[in-house]
Amino acid sequence: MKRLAFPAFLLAAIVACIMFQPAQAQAETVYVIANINVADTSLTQTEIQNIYLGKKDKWNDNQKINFTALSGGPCHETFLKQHVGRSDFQFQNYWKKQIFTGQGQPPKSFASDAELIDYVSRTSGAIGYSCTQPDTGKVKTLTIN
Amino acid sequence: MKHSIKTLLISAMAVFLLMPAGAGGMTLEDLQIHGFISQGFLYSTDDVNFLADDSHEGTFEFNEMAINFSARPTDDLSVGLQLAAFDMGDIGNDEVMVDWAFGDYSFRDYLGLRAGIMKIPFGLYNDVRKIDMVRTSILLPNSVYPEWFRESFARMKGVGLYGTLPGNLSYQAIYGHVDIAADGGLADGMETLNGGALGMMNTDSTDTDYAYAGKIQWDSPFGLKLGASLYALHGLKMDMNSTTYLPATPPLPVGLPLATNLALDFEPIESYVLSAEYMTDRLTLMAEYVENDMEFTADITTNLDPVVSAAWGVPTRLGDKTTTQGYYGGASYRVLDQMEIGAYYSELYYDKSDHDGDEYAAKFGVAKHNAWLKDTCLSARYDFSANWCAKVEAHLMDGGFMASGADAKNWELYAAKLTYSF
Repeated sequence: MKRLAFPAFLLAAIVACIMFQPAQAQAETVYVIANINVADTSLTQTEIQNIYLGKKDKWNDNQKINFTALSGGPCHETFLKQHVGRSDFQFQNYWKKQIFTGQGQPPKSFASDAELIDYVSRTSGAIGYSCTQPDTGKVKTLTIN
Repeated sequence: MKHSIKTLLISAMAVFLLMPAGAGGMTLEDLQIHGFISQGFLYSTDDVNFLADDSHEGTFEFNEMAINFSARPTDDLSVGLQLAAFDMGDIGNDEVMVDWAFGDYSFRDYLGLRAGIMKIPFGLYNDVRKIDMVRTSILLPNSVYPEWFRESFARMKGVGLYGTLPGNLSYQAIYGHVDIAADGGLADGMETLNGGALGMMNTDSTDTDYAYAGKIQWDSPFGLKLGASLYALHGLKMDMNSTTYLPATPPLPVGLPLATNLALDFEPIESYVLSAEYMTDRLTLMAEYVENDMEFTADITTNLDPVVSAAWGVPTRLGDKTTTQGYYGGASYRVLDQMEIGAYYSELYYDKSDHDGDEYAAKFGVAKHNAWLKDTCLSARYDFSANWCAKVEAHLMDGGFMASGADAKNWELYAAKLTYSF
């Protein structure tokens, strides 16, 4: 009887795979923004990925990068998928690994675009993103190559 | 001292468990505080014990917890400390230890310096072994991450360099000292290995000279990660003893007490692992290959005259030289936003040139199948929230390497775990 437990477990896993189809994230335009005093005007795809994975923490003029993120939502998911190559769950997992091995701290997160943009506009070296057209008088929009 | 730290840790965890906390943890000004606590359950079939002495009856001696504090005093400098405890059968026993504590100075993206107690980078998952919530499976593949020996690979006290080079090639290198616990998994394994010839052993003390580890990893833009890691431990010594009674022989009415001392001296233990991981939106594929070179000699002395010891068949020297080999391949898939399933197949051999176990059986006087462990694992994980996750897992096992009382060649292992993190 106990030999049936493993096949039953396998069967349940297969059924779960077939039954549940993941929902697709909606595509949105994401603007990558930075504080006005950041000298850089563009980033490569690898650079922005490395910023959000904590591997790049300095701008090209050696100024400290303060990276920010939204705490969730379609814009956050689109940004992660397009620029970090991860889902929200994978991104959270990555930062839990970094936190519990002492190798870094996750981005400061905000509940809304407005709060994030306000913080980036007030914080030297800050970078973030938004799905609403940013006010270029407050922050600068970076080009992603 | 250990108990006062333990009380503090448990109290802190209890406070955080009762407080509503976001996944990002708490921020008190510039101080970051994070923690987790995991409680697991293990059950093995066919009277086989794995990781715990009574796993065949089901055991809760399978838990982990940690709390860390970190701060960034300047733009380039960060400091942090993590206290942790775990229990896994006879090892760990929830004694609080400093899991890591180091200062980190980042000069440039391509060069940073760390000093203190650091996690050892080895393979994809060695530095996150005890962090249950960052993977799908409960147990990592034992071929590359043997649970009994994880504290031997866990942390190093010394200095390290790290950085990311052009081409997205990142590296870590550390040099220093590794403490091997006399009541830890490695000592436990050596006691079992030598106990066949000398009876039940107990480790009195251990010592090491120095150690180093390095890892390079390439992260591609399309989700592929390739890595290579090396770890070497030099000057490991262990001192073990056992006390038994020789059989009574006329004219003596009782057997003589036989106190045996075993002084183990290891050649440098060298391990390397090659790693690959491919990640898409919901699917992760992973595979790794490892080899560990190990050679030791053990000088044996007893409380009896050497001539008497020899007459009773007590050897004067034991030893072995082997290259253990392990590899696995696995996959995990995020079925729902809250649910993930995974599977892996793993093979581990005590000696890479003795896959069928013939030499192992002749050398240690045990069944051939104790020379390997082949593991087919299926896992399921459910995230109730960003803070809580639960897992269940089933293993179909072939072989008895690292399993005690493993007379059965084919057996099963079931595990469950509940984790809270903040």
